[in-house]
Amino acid sequence: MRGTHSPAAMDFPILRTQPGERPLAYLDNAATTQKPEAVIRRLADYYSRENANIHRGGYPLSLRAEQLYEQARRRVQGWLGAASPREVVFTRSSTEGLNLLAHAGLEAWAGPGDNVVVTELEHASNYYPFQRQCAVRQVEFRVAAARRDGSLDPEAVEALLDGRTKLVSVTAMSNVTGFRPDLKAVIRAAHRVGARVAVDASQEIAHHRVDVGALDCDFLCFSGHKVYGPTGCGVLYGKEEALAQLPPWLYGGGMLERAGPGGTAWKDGPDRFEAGSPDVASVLGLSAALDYLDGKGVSALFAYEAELARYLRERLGAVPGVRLHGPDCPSPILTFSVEGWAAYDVGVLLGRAGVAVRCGAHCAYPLMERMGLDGSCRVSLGIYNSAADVDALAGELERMGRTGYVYSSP
Amino acid sequence: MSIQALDRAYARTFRALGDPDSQCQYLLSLALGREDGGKGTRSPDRRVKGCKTALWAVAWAEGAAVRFQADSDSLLVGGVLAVFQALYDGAPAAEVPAAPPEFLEEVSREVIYPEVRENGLRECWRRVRQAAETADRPPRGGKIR
Repeated sequence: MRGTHSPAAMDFPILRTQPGERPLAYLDNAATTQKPEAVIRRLADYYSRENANIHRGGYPLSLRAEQLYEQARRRVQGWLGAASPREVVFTRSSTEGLNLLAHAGLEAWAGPGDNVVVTELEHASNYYPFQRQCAVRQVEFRVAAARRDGSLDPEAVEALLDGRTKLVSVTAMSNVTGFRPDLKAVIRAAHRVGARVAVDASQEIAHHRVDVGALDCDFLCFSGHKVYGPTGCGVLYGKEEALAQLPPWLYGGGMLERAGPGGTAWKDGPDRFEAGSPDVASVLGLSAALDYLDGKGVSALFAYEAELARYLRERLGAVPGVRLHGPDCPSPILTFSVEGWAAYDVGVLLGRAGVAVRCGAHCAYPLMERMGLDGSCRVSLGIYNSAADVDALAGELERMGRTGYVYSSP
Repeated sequence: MSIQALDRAYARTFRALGDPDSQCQYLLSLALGREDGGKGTRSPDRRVKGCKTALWAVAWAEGAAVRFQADSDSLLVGGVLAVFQALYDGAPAAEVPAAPPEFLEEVSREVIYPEVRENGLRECWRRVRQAAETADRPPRGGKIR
């Protein structure tokens, strides 16, 4: 692996260095990914030549923007393997999509005596919206326990299901350890008792192809910025018949079919959930990111990344004083601690040395508690990372272990 | 030396160090140089919640003086706590309300993140101030430290 360069690295302007500049080893891709030139250019082009509000203007510029927006919806539909563009709702982020589902889903389907199931692996955005809405609606909030190593036995979820389970919401890939639960087993079990299943694909989307048809989930969400698109745009996929049962969550312009003294009616399809002026530019940016990935050959990029993940695990595992946490399997997300150092200090000192990682609890407090961790450092790979980035990280950790608090300065 | 004068001296030191790397080295050396490192402070009731690092702090009044002990799993934060301790532990309570830890303005945000300041260090300062409110009035002409 040593000496191998990513086939994508040169497409990302932020990673290009001038002579004499220290390269940035950006290893915090689980938080957000960098943007390829194609995405940056798409945003500039839209604002330079195509910007108008949609669903409102009868003039060519607005109609053109609306056409581009709906094209992007079809692009996402294709990327996810959804049956129809009407199954793709644009949101601001995964967080917004999951909050939408918690509000509208529980309003539609759950009441006192029913229950909702999540797991200890969840990011805060797939935990607290459901916990809160359950409390508001007197619905039981059930949490499937993780194993001590951060993995999840699907039977731990299955054991919590019964005829009153209305919704199961589970991550496709832990943002702390990179562990991928057996989603098909969870979905099959939930469907057997008549429950809907939502999948948080915020991390999964950047490392594996997702096919909602093959998965047979009822809902799935992700954020565009974690898959090389801009911030401000996310996706909530929902089976058409499931979305049709949900009431609106946000109310305002663009989602009304009619309004007046005779009553109010909401539009069908995704428009019902997209009140207000949408972030057209970000949606087009997400579409450009998916075009970019397909253009580069996404399968090859993900295969390259998987190979780099193996190297990462092997390389960090050999650094004295570094302890890897989580299940023993290669993943582009890896969490670790360094003997004698707080995670915070490791993060700051690595940052000073040009290596960007995340430190803390990673917005996954139940999982951290289960794993017995107060905090940890997390390294997460992207398609542009290289063995040199991994070596830079490992080198700094070796230096910290060897020389105490002396670390390399720029 | 008054709390404010000492605080200004620390502020000058951090300003003179300038770059974040030098400030890191200085904070680490302060943390490693602490005599007891505040180790006895670690108990659940003293834990400051919501901070990005593990942080324990306790402040109490002793006659007309304030006492302050704190610890963190982070050496960098421990360095800041060493300054807090120098400023406030054994200081006259009457001086405290007018002497917030302004030296922090000179510490780079790349070294001590805003989240640590807001959730951790602000709470330390709140505990010191609260302890000062419960202290006795200072003895006339008395020297506390």
